[in-house]
Amino acid sequence: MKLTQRQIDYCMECGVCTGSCPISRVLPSFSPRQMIKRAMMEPEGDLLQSRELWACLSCARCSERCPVEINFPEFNRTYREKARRVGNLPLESHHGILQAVANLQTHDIQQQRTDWAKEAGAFHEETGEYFFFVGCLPFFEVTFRYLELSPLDAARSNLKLLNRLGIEPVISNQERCCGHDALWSGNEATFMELAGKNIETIKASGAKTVLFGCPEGYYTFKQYYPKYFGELPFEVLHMTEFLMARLPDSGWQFQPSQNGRLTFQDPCRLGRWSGIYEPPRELLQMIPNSDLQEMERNRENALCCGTSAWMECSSCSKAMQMERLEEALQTGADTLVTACPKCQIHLTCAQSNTELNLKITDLYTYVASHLEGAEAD
Amino acid sequence: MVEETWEILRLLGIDERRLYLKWISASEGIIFAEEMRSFTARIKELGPSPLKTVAAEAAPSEQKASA
Repeated sequence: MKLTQRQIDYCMECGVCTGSCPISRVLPSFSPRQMIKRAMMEPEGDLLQSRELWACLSCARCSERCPVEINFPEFNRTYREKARRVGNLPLESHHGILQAVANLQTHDIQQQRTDWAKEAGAFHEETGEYFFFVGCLPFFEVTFRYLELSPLDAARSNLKLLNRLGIEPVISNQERCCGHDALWSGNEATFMELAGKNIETIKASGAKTVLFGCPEGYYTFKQYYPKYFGELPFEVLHMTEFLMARLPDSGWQFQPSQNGRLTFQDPCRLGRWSGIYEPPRELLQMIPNSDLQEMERNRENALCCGTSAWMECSSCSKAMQMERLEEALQTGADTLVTACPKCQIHLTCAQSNTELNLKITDLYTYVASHLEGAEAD
Repeated sequence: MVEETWEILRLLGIDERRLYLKWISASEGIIFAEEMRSFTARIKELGPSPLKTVAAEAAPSEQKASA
């Protein structure tokens, strides 16, 4: 990434990035501004060997607020590529199982990952107009069972909602991880393999529209696939955008909410990175009696869930997660809704060792469970 | 945890019989030898891993990426 002279001049006098960074608040030694400075003084210097490179969550709160639009997370990401080459590697969480899954998916394997969908609704295995990109949920389902979570509920609910709209999407055994985590771990080669395979699969399905429940998959397809592979021969839509375009005319009735007060966690990839703030909120407000109360930090100021790309989970992650859970409870909410499986997993994990009792749920399950006649499905 | 790993192998379409867990004491040499013989026999029966050929092809590009 190359900075202009103007960006450099302004950057050296500023520091809004470090002032905005949720990591810097917990670890004062972490400073995006200092990292840029070190990179300018010595581009191939000790920054490449530093642990700080792996600490950034790429939550984009810094770049959102940078007055000269320096994309610090992207700058940091390119450095991760270089760091990997000199043997500076991230600490992988969960024994590296999810990195192993992504790496195995670069091979020519015949996955069996759609069993959940056979029970949840109607879909096509090969071709169709819509492709529902499930993402890593079948693997999260197994990996995070110990948290008594069912990440696949989000996919089941999305399939139900699509079926109700008369859509039977393609759900494919050939689908791979979108490559988001590989990309943000400085592993471009793995990302390229996965992305190439996904594009091939979707092309072969003949789908014109690809729908995503997961913000990371959505953002990676929307932003990075065209960057590496050129214009895509299909449209990329997040489920919240898609549902909000369809629901107002659908005539659907929702049962009134019995959940008390709600609050919404903006996922970084959906909010700051994609600018999708209102559709998830509008979806929640379609349910009668939904008492949505914003946390103090919301939308572009929302606090990240504390870890990204399944690496570098630390006491810093935990401190951020606890801060966020307490912020959620301060709204008087008893339910926190999020649109990202990782936010749900991380916040559930953080809460599991505490006395806190916040119900943490995903947006699609929340919406689908309030749909009139949902039990009949 | 091995149950979860088997489940992940099934999702990936990799024959779960390629992963085997058996707790054997250091004093049970004969049992260890028997288990190893039967496990290697099973692996031979299953034949080469479906990942093997592709892995060999992928190796040069990985080297290039890390150079």
